[in-house]
Amino acid sequence: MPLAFSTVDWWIVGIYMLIATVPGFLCRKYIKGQEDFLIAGRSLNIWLATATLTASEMGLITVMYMAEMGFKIGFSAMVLGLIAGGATLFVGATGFMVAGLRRSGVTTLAEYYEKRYSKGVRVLGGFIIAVAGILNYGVFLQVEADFIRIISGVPDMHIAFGAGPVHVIPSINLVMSVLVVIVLLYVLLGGMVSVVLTDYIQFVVLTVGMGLTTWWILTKMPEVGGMGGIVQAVQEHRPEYGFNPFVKHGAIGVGLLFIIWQCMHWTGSNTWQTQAFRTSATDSPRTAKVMWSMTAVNFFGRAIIPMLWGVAAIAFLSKTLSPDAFDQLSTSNPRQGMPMLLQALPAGLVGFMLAGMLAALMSTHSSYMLAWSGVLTEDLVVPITRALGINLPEWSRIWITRFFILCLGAFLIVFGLWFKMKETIWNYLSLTGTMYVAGSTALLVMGLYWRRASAAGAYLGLLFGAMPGLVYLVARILVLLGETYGFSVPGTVAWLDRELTEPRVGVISFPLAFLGLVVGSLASGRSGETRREAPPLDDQLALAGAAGGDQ
Amino acid sequence: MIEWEQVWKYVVWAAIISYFGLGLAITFGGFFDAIKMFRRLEAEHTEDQMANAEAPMSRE
Repeated sequence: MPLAFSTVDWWIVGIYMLIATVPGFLCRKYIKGQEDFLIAGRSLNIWLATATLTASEMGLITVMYMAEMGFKIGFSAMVLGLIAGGATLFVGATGFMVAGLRRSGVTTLAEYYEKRYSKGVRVLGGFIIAVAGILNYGVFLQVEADFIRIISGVPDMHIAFGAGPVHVIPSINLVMSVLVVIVLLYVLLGGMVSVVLTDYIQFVVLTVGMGLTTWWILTKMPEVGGMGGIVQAVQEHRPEYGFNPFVKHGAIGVGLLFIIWQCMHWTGSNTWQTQAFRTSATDSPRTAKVMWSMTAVNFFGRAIIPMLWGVAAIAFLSKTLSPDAFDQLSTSNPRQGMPMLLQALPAGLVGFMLAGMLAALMSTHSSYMLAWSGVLTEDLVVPITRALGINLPEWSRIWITRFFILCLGAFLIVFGLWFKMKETIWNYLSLTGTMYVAGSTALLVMGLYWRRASAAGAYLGLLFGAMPGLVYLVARILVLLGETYGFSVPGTVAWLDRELTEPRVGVISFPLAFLGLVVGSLASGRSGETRREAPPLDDQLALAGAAGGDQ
Repeated sequence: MIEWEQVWKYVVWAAIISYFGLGLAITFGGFFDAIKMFRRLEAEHTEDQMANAEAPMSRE
């Protein structure tokens, strides 16, 4: 039976929260301008840059969706870790995209759009980045709340005002709201310098927590039975498709289409704003390359280790639950498998693990809040006000960024806690991610390596990249609205909803974005690079490949 | 014929060793990087304070 979350565990979590947040408040005095606030004055060296990138990209949400995949499809899910590690290593080793981005000296990717293409491309790019990113971010709290609810066993709160009716408030709502307030406070006060420091502390706590948990699961849980027991459980409960990623069992399994989509997605995922920020924050293109090479190992590990926990949960729960309950969990709520396994960790370790997961949660939220508020300020507000003839001073840009951070906090609480997600975690996240990454990859790659890429092509590339995801989401929402309110949707919408699976949307989006960019550029007959005076391709490649004299 | 069971066992152990090995290196390396970053920030902060003390009207 699972062990209860004890007082010792709460103490560990409480002390950790104190240790992790105090440094953020102490860093206020170092924030002089927007560059310090958003990218720590471009001062990060290799180790610190890697620690902060890893910490911000290893969220509780990451652990949850990776473990969900492991629990649902067994070892096959780990192909995602191989793709993530391989694609990132390619980017880091060659400097493909990242060296050029760092060399351009921009803060956000949309800023690159302006430098390389036009102001209009920047505004459209900023809009798509913000919409896709915020929609992606909006579900984080909901998933994280599920984990904390299961691990800690926090009961619901019953509140009565006088003799009035008793109101039941899920306590986790309150806990998560408090958490958001703490994250907001230290992000608002310290910006990226505090995030970097907190990320480092969180990286250490998370790594130790993950190491201890993995060791315990593999050696101290007789129900799991070590690696041998896990393999045996997958053979029994996830036959064939649990090992071979090319085999599908109905809709369950990985499949070739998913693999192709993920290869494209992970190669371009360094354009994801929170990651592009880290590239911008490094002290040179060379540091950016080394950081990405080391991050490849982290991306590989951060996928495989939570997936291993998910796969171990198959062995554990198939022995501790009734067959019906296990089947029900496997089909209807696989995301709960891993937290149910971690419930069985001993007192102290479960508290340390929760502290590590809260660390992951906080660093991700702080990073995402800075990223999306930075995009809204720098890529939408600033260009628009500039077009109106208003030049915003630096201090007002910081305050506008802080205002957007507050709005994001409110959005997270409202959307994240009360919005009911229909799709699986990874499907939703990767779909919203692809809406943005497909276009941004096309614009960055072609902008860096193709002289004839122009603003007209960039508009088409952005729109074509986002279109399949948008069509999917609109069709899905219409069908769900129809189910909820009892009206029938047109046949075309129903067909789109049925046929546009996430891997199909993903596989279509990337080539469409590149096609749009090429067709638009050729049709417009203007060279955006010449107009913008971007460095020639060969120079960029040579500089990106140079080891020491980049800066 | 690929022995998938063996492949995944190797993958799991490779992930554990590389992830936690690099984690250890980053923990030590990051500590010294953080010290360097704060030395630089502190020096800049002191310079700014001195500049402001000398020419208070030069600020916006």
